Amino acid sequence: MSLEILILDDETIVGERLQASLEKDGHSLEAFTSPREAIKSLNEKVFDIVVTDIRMDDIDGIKILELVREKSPRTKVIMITGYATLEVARESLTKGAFDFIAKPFKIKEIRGAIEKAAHALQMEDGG
Amino acid sequence: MRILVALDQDMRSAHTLSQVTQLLVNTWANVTLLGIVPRKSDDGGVPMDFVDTMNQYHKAVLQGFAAEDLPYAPADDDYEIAEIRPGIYEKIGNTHGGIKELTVRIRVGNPTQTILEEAQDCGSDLIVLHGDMDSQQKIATKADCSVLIVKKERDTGRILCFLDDDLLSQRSLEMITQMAVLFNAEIEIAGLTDKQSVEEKIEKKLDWLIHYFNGKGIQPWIQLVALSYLEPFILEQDHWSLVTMWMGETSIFKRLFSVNKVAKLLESRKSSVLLLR
Repeated sequence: MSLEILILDDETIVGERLQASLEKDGHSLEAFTSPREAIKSLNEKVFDIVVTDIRMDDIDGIKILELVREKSPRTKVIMITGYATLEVARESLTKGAFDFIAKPFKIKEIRGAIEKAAHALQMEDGG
Repeated sequence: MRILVALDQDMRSAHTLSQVTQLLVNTWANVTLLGIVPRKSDDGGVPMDFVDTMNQYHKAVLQGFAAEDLPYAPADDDYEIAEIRPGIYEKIGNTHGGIKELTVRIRVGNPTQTILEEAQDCGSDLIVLHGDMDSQQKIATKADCSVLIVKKERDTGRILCFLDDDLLSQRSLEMITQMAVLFNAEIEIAGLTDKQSVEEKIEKKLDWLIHYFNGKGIQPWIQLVALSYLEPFILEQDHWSLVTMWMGETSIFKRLFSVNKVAKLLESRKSSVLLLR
């Protein structure tokens, strides 16, 4: 299943690490370091999966989560964080995040979460 | 993040587990609780008292979470321990099925070998073990991932990081950030220098690190330490609750410290030690 995925992390290295690997899996990827640029793209297009960092200078990932959930409830949002706290995990999940992943992570952990999200999307789409 | 917690029947394992549970509550990491027994019981299986202990450890982790926050499958009293591969036993029952994986395993054999094999198998980012485990120094020097050796119970208010001219991995920086957030701890970075060849490199790296941590809202304290004074300096730092050292292939600790020296260092310390890779 080829998916439209948006990745947002203000650290360039995260998008770089994920881009090559996920494109190899046949997914179409847009990686952003600027939340504002990502929001622009989210307003123009519907993604299957959004992977976003939670804490960024400009706009936090929870706001991105809320925006995605409002615009496209079908989209699965995977939250990643370098500042894991119970409150952040709880808020992410109660606001409808599909998964919560603390850094450091291996690519296969994100790939696993994306596979699970793809499976959930398939089930919801009746496939 | 995937964490491997090595456990035995020593009292220190319970304390280690309580520290790990704090980390799990914050990170929702995938976790393997690994019990190690040197040999099978007379009936060819795993000693029942050890199975009971592992079950208690499993329950203790779950009890660290509020019911509504539990990312793992809840514990089930109706379980069995099955030999999934020769010498490797796993608690079968309600251990999978949560948002995150919590695996309970028992391996029979040499502790160092079994812990390192399990770390490879599960692709762990961090191995956690207590400071009285005989195998701690071998694990510390041979593991491919970061290793946290949990010592005496104390508040982790301050984290001391040794920095040399080895390449810093993104993963190791992320691990320190998580520890600082988890324990609400201050970070001090000691740049190691011989005052000739590496000083400029270290200073550049320190600048970069200050920028990195400042960008994350963390204000680290910085100091330079002469390499010739490294060993006594380390021994003086026992007031720190957590000491971290980069252990990359070309790191100073790997280059200058023999396995025996690392062992001595780990044994003598009262602080917990995090070895980063």
